[in-house]
Amino acid sequence: MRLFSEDIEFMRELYIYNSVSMYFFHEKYMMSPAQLGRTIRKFTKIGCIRISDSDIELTENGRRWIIANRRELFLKAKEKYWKNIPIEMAQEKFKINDTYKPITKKLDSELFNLLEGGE
Amino acid sequence: MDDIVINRAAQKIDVNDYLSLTKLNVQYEWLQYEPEALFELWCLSDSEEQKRLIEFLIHNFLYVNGKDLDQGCKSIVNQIESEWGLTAANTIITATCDNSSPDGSQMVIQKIKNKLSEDWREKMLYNSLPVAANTLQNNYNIVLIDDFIGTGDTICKKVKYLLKTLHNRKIADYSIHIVSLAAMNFAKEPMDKLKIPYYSVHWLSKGISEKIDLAKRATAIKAMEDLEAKLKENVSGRKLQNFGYKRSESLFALESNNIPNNVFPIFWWTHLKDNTKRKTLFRRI
Repeated sequence: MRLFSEDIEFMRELYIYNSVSMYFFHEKYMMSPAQLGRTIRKFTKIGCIRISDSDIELTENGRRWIIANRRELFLKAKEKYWKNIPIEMAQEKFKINDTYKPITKKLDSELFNLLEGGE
Repeated sequence: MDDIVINRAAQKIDVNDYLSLTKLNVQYEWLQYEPEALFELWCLSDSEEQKRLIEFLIHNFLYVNGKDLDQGCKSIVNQIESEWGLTAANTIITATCDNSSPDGSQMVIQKIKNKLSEDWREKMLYNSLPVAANTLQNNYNIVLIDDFIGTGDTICKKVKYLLKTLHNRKIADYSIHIVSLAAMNFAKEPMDKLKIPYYSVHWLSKGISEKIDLAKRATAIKAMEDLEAKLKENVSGRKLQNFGYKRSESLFALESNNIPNNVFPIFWWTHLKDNTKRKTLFRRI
C-alpha cells in the first residue's frame, strides 16, 4: 500500500489523539476533501479506523497497524539520526550569500601538496 | 487512482462545506478521478439550496465502473440467450454505431464477446450498424446494442434506418431486439411505439423532476437554473443544453467513457460565462 504524506500525518495524529474530527486535518495540514476522502477510505478498508458522523476513531487494529508500520510513520527520511548534528559540534549557520573561507591551518596540508604536485 | 498525488487545499474551506465534500469523497471513489473538480463545482454554488442539490445529484448518480460494466454485460447476455432465447444459429448482434467515429456501443459489444456462450463466433458480432444491416439475411434475428439510451430519439432513428435498409434489400423475415446498459425511463414511450422487444440493465429517472418531491421541486429547478446561468452558452460551436439534451436530466456515467450530453451540464461543461476554463468531473468531446 502506497503511503502519501497525508496518510502519514493522519495516522500519526490518530495515534496521539485516538479520535479526531475530519476538519482538524484541514485546519492543521490544509488537507483537501479529496485527500482526506481517499485516506479515510484507504484505512477504513483495512479496518484501521471507524467513522462516526464527522469524527474518525482509531481501532485496535489501527493501533496495531501503526506499531507495525512505525518506521515509515515516525522515522521519516529527514529525521534520520545521522542527519542530526550533535549540539557540541554544531556551529553558527552561514547566512545566505555569505563568503566562506576555510581556516587553512586546520586543514590537512598533505591535500595542498597533492594539488600543487598536480596529482 | 491510489497512485496519484492529490493536492492540498489552496484555501481555507468553511467547516460545513469541508465536511460535506469530504463525506462525498469518502462515499464515491469516482469523484477523485478529477480531485479538484468537485470543489470547483461546489464553489459555483452561492446558496445552500444549490449545495444541497449538488449533493443530492451526486448521491443519485449511476457511475458504472469496470466491475459494474462486466456485471451489466453478463445481464445483457443472459437477456439475449436465456430470456429471448436467441441463439448463435441465426442471430447477429451489432453496435448501433453508424459512422467512422468510435462510440460507447462498440465498447459494450467488445465487452460482451467473452460472455456469450461458446457457439457464438466473432463474425456474428458487428461494430457498425450499416454493415450489419447490409449483411442480415432472411430468418435471422438482429440485436442492436448500445451503452446508453437518453431520449430514445437516436435508437428510434437507427431502427428506422435498419427497417428501411432491410426493406430495400427485400429482407422480410427477421426480428429486431434492442439492449442497452442504461436508459432513461422516458425513452420507453418512443421505444414502445417501435413494437420491438427491448431491454436495459439500468432504468434511470430524471434527476430532478422524477426524483425530487413536488414540494421541493421548484426550488431545485431554480437552483439548477442559477447554477447553469454561470456556464458559457456556446463553447466551440456547441450550445449549452439546459438540464442536458432535451432536458433529459440524466445522472449517468460510464467509467473512462465520453459523458452523454443528456447529463446535467454542470458536471461536464468546460467553460464559465466569463470564458474561464473549469475543471469538470466528466469529459465530453
